[in-house]
Amino acid sequence: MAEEFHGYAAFDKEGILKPYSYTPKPLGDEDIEVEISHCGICGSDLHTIRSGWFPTIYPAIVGHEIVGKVLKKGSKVTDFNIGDRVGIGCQVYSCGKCDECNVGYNQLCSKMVFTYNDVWKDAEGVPTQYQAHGGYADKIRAHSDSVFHIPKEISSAEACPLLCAGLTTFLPLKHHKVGPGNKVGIVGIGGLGHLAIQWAAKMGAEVTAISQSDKKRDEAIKLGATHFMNASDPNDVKKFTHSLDIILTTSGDSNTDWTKYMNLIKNRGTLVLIGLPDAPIPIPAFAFMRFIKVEGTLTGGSQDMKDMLEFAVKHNIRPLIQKVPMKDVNEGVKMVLNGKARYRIVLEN
Amino acid sequence: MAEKFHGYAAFNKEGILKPYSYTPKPLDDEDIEVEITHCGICGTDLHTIRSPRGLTTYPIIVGHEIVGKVSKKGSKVNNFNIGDRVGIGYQVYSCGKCDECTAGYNQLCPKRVFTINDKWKDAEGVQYQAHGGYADKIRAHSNSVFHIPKEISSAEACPLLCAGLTTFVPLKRHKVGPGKKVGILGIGGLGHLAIQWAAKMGAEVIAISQSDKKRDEANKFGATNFLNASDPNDVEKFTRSLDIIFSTSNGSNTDWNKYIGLIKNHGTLFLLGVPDVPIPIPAFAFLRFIKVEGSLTGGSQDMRDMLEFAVKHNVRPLIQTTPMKDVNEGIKMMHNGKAKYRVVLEN
Repeated sequence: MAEEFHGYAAFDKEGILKPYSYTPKPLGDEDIEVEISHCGICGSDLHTIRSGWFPTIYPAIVGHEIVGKVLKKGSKVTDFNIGDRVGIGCQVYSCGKCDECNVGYNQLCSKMVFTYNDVWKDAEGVPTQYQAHGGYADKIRAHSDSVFHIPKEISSAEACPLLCAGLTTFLPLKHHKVGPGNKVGIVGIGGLGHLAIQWAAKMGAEVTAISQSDKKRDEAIKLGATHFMNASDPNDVKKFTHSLDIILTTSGDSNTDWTKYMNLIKNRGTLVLIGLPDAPIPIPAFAFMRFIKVEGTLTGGSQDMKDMLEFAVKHNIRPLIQKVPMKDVNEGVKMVLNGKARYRIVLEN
Repeated sequence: MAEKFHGYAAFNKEGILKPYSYTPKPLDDEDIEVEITHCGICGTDLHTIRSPRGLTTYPIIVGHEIVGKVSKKGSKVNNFNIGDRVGIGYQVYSCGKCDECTAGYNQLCPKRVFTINDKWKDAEGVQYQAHGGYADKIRAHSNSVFHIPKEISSAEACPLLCAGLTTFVPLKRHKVGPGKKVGILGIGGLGHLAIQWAAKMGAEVIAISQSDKKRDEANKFGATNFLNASDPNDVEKFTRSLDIIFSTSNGSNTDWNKYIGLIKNHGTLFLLGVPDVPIPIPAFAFLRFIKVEGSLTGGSQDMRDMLEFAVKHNVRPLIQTTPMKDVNEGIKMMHNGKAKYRVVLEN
C-alpha cells in the first residue's frame, strides 16, 4: 500500500478543516522529508481555504510556516542530517539554475512549486499526479534548496511565523536598504506589522507605526516604533504629512483610503504593498505626480531566508505567538479570522 | 491705466474660448516678458478648461507650450537678451534654492507657480492670476524660460516644452538604451515623441496601439516592433517580454491587466498620462516585483537636456498649425482625436 501523510484539509470554500490523508510525492534524490512539529497559521492559508485569490484545488491542506525534524533524505542531500531541526516556508521547490534563482529570486522561478495548492512537476516540468500539501499535517516533503536550518537560539514555535510573515516583511526593508536616517511607516500592527516594526527598528530606521485606533500604541512602542500615528485622528495624519520615505502596508483593500497613506509619503518616496487584497488596488493617480513609486513583494529567496534568520538571531527578533494543538486547527483558524490572534497562531503536533 | 495682456479665456466648463484681457504680474528683477508667437495645445489645457475635478479658476487662459521673443527683462536677468527666441513650459516660477530645486526637481518646488490655473504672490501677498499662452504676452521667472536652439522651428519647439519633456525625462531617468525593451502604449501627442526618444536612445521599442492603423507611422518614428493590443496573438507574443512600459493612456477603461502581463518580472509600468480616476492596479502584478511609477514634466536642467537631445538626434513632433484666433477650432481637433499629433497656435 502507498505511503500516506495525514493532515487537516479544507474540502470546499466553507473552510471547515477535516482529517485527510494523501499520497506524497516520491522522495527524490535532493528531497527531504520533515516530521512536522509546528506550523504557523498565515493569512494566505485563510485566503486559500476560501479560494479568495484563485480557485483552490480541493481537498487542500494548507500551512507554510513549517518547522520539524528531518526524517528522511535523498541520496544527494549533504547539508542536512536526520534529526536536524528545519523549516519550510511558502515554497517547496525552485530549480536553482534559472535567471530568477541565480539573482536570488527563487520565489519567481518558473518551475517553482508552492508549498500548498500546487502540483509537483517532473524533470521536464510536466505536472504529476502529486499535489503539494502544506503543514497542517504530520509530514511533508520538499526539495532541500527550500529547507532551512533553524538556528538553535529560536524555538520551533517562534520560528514558524518567521518563515513567511518574517521573510515577507524583512525582504522589502532589506531591498530598500532601510537604516539610520530613513523614516519608515508601517501600516497595520498585526501578524506582519509587528515583525516589520521590529526589523525596521533594529535596522536603525525611525519607525512610525500606523494604526486605525489608539489601542496598539503602547505595544507598537514596545516593538521598537519611534512614533505612533492614529490614522483615524486628522491631527495625527496632518502631523505626518509628506514625512515618510517609505511605507509598508500590511493591510488594505479596495476600500482603503489610499490617498491618506500616499499623502504621508515624501516626494519620490515608495509605497510597498505587503498584504495582498483580492481586488485591484485603486491607486490615486495624483500620487504619481510626486514621483511616488508603488511596489509589491512576494516572500523571499533562499538566501533571503538565511539572511533573515541570521538577523533575527543577532537582533533578538521574535514574533508574538499563541500556541494551539494541531487537532484544534479550526479553533486556531477562527482566532485569525476574527482578528483575535496576538499576533500569530502556531499549531503544535 | 494698468498694462493689460490679451488672450483667449474659458469662462466656464463649457470651454468656449473668448477674448479676455488681464493685468499681468509686475515685471520683477529676475523676470522675463515674452511676446508669444506660438503656443501648443496640450491635453492638460483641455482638461483644465473643463475642470473635471472642479479645480479651475475662471476666467482662465490656458496654454503651456509657449514660444516667443523676449520683449522685456528684469534688471538682474543677464542670460537673455531682448529679441531672443525662448520657450516656457508648464511652470513660470521655481525658487531655485530648495531641496527639490537643488536636486533638479524644480517642478516639485513648494513655491512653484504653474503656467496656468495658478497664482503669483508678491512679497506683500498680493495675488496675480497666472495665465497661459493662448495670448499675446506672458511673464515668467527667468529660471523657467529656455533658449530655443536655432535648429528647431518655433512651432515645432512648442510641443517639446511639455509633451517632449514629459516623455523624455522618465526615459532618461530609467536609463533607457541599448539592451532595453521598451513598450510605448498609445501613439499620439505623447507617444509619438516617446517612441522617437526611446529609439534614439538605442532601445528596442515596441509601439503598442489598439488597432493596426498606426503601424507604419510607428515604424517611421523608430519603433522596432508594433503590438496591436486588440489582437490576442500579438499580446501573447509579447507576454513578459518588456522591461518597462510607458503608458500615455489616460482612460479609466484601460485593461491594465493586459499591459502588465507584457512586463517582465522586476519591470516597471510608468504612467505618463495621469487619469482623473484612481488606477485599479491588479494586485497580482506586485507579486512579480513590478513597480508602478509616474512623473510630472521635468526640471529646468531636464528641459535643457531635452532640447539638446532633440537637436542632436533630430527629434521633432508632428504638428499642425492653426491661427491663434481659430483657437476653438484647434481645440476641437484635439478633442476629436484628429490632431496628428499636436496642434500649435500661431499669432
